[in-house]
Amino acid sequence: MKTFLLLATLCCPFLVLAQDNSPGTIQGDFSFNAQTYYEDSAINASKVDEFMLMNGYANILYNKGNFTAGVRYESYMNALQGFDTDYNGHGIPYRFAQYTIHGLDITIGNFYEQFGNGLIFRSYEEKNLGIDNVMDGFRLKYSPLKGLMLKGFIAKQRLFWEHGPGIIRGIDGELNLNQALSSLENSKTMAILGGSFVSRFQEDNNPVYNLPQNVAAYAFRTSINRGKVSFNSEYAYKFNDPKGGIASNNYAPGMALTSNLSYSQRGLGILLEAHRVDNMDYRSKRGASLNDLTLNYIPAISKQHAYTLAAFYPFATQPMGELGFQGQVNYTFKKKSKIGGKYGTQVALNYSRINGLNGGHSVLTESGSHTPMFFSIQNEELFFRDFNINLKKKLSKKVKLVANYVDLIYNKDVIEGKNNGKNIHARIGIVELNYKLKPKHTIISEVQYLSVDKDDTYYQDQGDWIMGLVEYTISPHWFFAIMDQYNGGYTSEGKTYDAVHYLNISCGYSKGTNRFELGYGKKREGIFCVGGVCREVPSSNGFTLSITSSF
Amino acid sequence: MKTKLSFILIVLAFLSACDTIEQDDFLQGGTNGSGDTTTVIKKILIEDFTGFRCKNCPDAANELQAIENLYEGKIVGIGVHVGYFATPGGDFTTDFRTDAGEDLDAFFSASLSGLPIGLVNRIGYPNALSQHTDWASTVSDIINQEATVAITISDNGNQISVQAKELSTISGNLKLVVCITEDDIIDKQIVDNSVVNDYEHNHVLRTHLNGTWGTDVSLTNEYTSFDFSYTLDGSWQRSNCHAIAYIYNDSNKEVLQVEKIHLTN
Repeated sequence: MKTFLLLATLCCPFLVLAQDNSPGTIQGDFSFNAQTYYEDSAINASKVDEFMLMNGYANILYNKGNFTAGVRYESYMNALQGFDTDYNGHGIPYRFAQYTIHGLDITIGNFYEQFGNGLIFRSYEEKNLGIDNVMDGFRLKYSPLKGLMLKGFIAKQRLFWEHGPGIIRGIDGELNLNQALSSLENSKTMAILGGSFVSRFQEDNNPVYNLPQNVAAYAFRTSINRGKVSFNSEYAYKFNDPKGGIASNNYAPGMALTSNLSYSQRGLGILLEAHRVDNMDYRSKRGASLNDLTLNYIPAISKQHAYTLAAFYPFATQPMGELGFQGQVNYTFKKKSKIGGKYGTQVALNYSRINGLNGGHSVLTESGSHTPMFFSIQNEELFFRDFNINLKKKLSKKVKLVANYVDLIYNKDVIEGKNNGKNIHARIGIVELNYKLKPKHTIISEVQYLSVDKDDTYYQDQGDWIMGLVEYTISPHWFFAIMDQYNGGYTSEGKTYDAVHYLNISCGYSKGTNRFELGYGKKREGIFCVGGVCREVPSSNGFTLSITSSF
Repeated sequence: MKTKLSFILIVLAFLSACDTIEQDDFLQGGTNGSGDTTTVIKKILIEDFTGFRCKNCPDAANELQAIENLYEGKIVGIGVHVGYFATPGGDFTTDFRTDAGEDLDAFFSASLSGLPIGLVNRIGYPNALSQHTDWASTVSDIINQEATVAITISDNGNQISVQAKELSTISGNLKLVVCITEDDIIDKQIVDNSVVNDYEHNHVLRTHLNGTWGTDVSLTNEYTSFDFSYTLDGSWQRSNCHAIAYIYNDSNKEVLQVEKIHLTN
């Protein structure tokens, strides 16, 4: 209620001042996800005292001319399993008002923002991961010169229903040389330069160490594009950022460097990418862990797989230290060629490899220091390696085929904090057939198989998996799906686990912008990732209901 | 020109918002906040939720030890082995979990928040969990608070006797918990990414003598005695065991006083 009153008070002067007599527009969207949880010893799923858990939210935005205000109501009663229970409760954690006048854009309240690639600052939300590190404060954007955009803010960061202790100050400038310099206006080479600076203030009340109260980071970036070739690069540096505590503290600075070079023409795309990250865990509270209060975001340098079993072993960026490379080639074999066939064939090859830094990340303590070599691959700990091929082909007017092969090595110890002492080597094959029965009626079927390397040098985890999916869609209203993931049983740490089916059925109905989806089944425990950020999801057995809507 | 100058000034202002500490100045001169020892000292309970398969948990154990060393005689630590990371499996055969520990874990959602994590006097409930890197700061904030409760403990070999009294009037229902911990247990522990076979586990919670949440107590300004009989499990080394008694306010779960003695041999 207080928030609504605050918004009303904030909005009124603008409404009175505005010359525009139109009433403005209101937009909104709504999302509700609920699940029941039943005991199921076969998959180690437990029931919950509440019987049912739910996550839900609704955004309401008001816009009139240069003025926008919005709120988001969120409800976790109680939070779905896999989400932090600190979310339990409901309220309005997001409210803002924004006004633009003579090129000056002012936001008060909550805002999301990103500087460059996010190496030193990215405030974002990803509801599926339970991440919302929205800022709360002031933000200004201004363009004092043609081609130059400045952004600045002072804010605190959301932590569940509260704020982190740090006060964050940030400034970013981006200069589009082609717009700013008339001599380059018609140049075929497009160039953008950018620079950013972020500083966190947090009081030091450590009884033993002198901790920096203001911890800063800066970054420079460039983006150059000429015809079919483009190059992007960003370098970031973080000053000493010890975590606190009195047993030990690491005062080493952090750095990150990311670069990518791409070539694109009709039917062919090539991407080469590399990054090096050292000691770049930057948060709005020193020593914060998990996904709490992250100030920066290091984009993942491996392919984010969408198919279930290909995404079984996903890699998440290790901000404390990694060196990674990725290459991708997309090629389309033309129609009526030998390989292209009647409709053409798309092929994508992707390879990525990420290893740890030489001797680990940088360390600087009162008694010693370590600085890893800038570039070292041989004999370094492998975090992740992925080679995958994707083929898409239209076989006839009614049938489309997608085939995938993935060969990956996954360091579960580093990525999940486990201790198996060996990496997992998995090979995954996927075939998807999309068959158009008749207008508006489509069947999608998928078969996926994951096989782990049985060689003793590798950890066999849960052994092999097979998955089948059939989805029947009647556009634009209905879909029905049945999916089964089957594990043939395995032995781990002396315990034998029986074979188990994870069967799921679901159906959905859409009308206009409303969508309803009801499902029942078993979910396996696993890692769920978006953009290289992951959360662990426990196994469960129950009904799910999902409703989304917008206006 | 004016705009450029303003921009440069703003950037310079921001650049000054950074403190760089030189290597010689990482450590302060050193103070342990020792106060007047003639009055009853308020001691502080740190509960460290941990597990022998949790690779970062030794950092928290080291931190707890460092805090105990810094505030000598004022800190009582309990290592509560809980959840997935404390579940035996493979070469990790010892079960350090306890019923009380599992109850505490469920109540404070420790495992769900990710280990290592802990409680300092359970301050801040329902958001009482804090990371080990924050424990010392919290302790330094409260270390000089006046004690509101006095506790003494004695042991006759099979019975713990706790005497407690109020030092000032306290509103709310008070509860007394008595438990046993063991030090110097040599067992496996993952440290970083390696298994250490002879890791020394300290502060390990072995059992609660009067249930997870303890016994209701009514205190006056005179000592009242509460007795609890106990038997040690055969696998515990009596010479390494301690009895810990703490009193907390049930309304906000905050621990008001804690005391610890070595069990008599």
